[in-house]
Amino acid sequence: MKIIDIRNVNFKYRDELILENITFDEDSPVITGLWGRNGAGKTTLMKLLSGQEREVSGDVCVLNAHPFNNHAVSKNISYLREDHHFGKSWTVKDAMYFASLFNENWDQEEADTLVEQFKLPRKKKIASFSKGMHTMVQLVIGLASHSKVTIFDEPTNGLDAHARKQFFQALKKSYDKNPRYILISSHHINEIEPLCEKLLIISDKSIKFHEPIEYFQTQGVSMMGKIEDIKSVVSSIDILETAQIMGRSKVMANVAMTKELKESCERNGIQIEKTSMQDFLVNITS
Amino acid sequence: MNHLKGPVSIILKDLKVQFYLFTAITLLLVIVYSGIGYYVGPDNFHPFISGPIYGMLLILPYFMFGDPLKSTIGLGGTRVNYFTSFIISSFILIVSLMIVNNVFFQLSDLLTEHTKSTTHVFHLASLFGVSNALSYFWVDILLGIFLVGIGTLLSAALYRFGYIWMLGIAVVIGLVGFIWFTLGDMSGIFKWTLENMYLSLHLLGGLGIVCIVLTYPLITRVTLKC
Repeated sequence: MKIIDIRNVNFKYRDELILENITFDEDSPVITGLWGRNGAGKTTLMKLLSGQEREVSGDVCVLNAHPFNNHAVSKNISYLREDHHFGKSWTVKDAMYFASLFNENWDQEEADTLVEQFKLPRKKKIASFSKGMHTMVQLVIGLASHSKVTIFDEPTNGLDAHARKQFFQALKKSYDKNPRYILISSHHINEIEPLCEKLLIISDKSIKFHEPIEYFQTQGVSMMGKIEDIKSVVSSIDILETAQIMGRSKVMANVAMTKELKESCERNGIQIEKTSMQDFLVNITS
Repeated sequence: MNHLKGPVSIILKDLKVQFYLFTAITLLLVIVYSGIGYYVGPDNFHPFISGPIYGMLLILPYFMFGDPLKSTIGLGGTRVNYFTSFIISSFILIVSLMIVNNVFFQLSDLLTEHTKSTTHVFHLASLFGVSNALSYFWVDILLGIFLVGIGTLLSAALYRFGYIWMLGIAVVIGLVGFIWFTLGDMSGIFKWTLENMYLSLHLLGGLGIVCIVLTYPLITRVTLKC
């Protein structure tokens, strides 16, 4: 059974095309990172996957069914958006109770443990919470839901370093206990990189890459030397960015950091190093 | 029905507050009007206590397409489940509030009967030629369904099409109504309505149900407003 199967999906809001010809699939439970620049269409993609919106054309299939207005599928999907909406009068206790009614695999024990761990006051209104505490409530719901498809949009926004660490540990533990498809959207790829097994890169309204994380860990190098030497080891088409520093050229290239490439650079007097994943992603989507 | 438990619980949490609030307001009106009738004793004193409840039922759907809808969809509910739950919850609220309204009405009548109070609370049912308590309650239920139905259709259309479109539609309907009223002959309709008041009331209740049915296609595919 395919967990996600999206074929040629387009989405328009009023007359503006938001997503164009989106196609990707996933058949095993993995933690996937979703990365894209502002306005790339990440939120819309997450809304389509969770059944909160309906595509204009194409096929969206999650857990073997179309998720829009489909309760049988919805009870197995959790989408925790960045500014998740809770009722104005809801307390943490209310939010946990209501969430338990919507999620088939809700784990109350895990919810209780996480509420304690994050030190969330159960009887206090969520509306009075700080941004960080509001985010924590979302995270507890997302993890305790144990939904077959769980989607987090910018899950660490507003969290301090300690809370971020707690969340990543809790996510790993929850996933190990019950492997499921978890999609995490984040602008800070370095933060989620250690957790992710795959990355989904969205740019200009469409999917640019859907590859194992190892691909991005090896791909993308920074070289410094004479431009003609650099061009002798990488083709011009792979050069993503060029800058001049003290009469030398600094080039970022979309090639894998291999032993052969390193040796070749050494022979040509080119300094080479692996670029950060964030820099590489910014450049391949520019 | 299990799939409706989540949305119904969310909606009822909001409606419970409205129920207590409007019960308190209606009770306050009964106390104030009975006090005036007892201490001042005006002649022909027929105050109306149902106004706040009727008004609330008309505007309530507008708020139901805000907070509870967003919360429900956010937790994984569907639009269809939400709308079905909204109808069930609204019916529960109509029945509960109309019980309150009629109990307070009877209570006020009892006070007048057994004290020197001159207050005779006005009940809309008296316009329809019915006399027993159950008929009074039934009239209230029909009016409640009509008000919630109209409110639901208008709120859903507002949510779906926005204020500008709705204002345009209201102007066109108003214009057609005005021309019909001034140039057309409405005496037949008025005469028939006055001669068949009780039947007309049932038609209003039916219109409320038609409005709710018409809302279904408007809301089940609506794009969420953030």
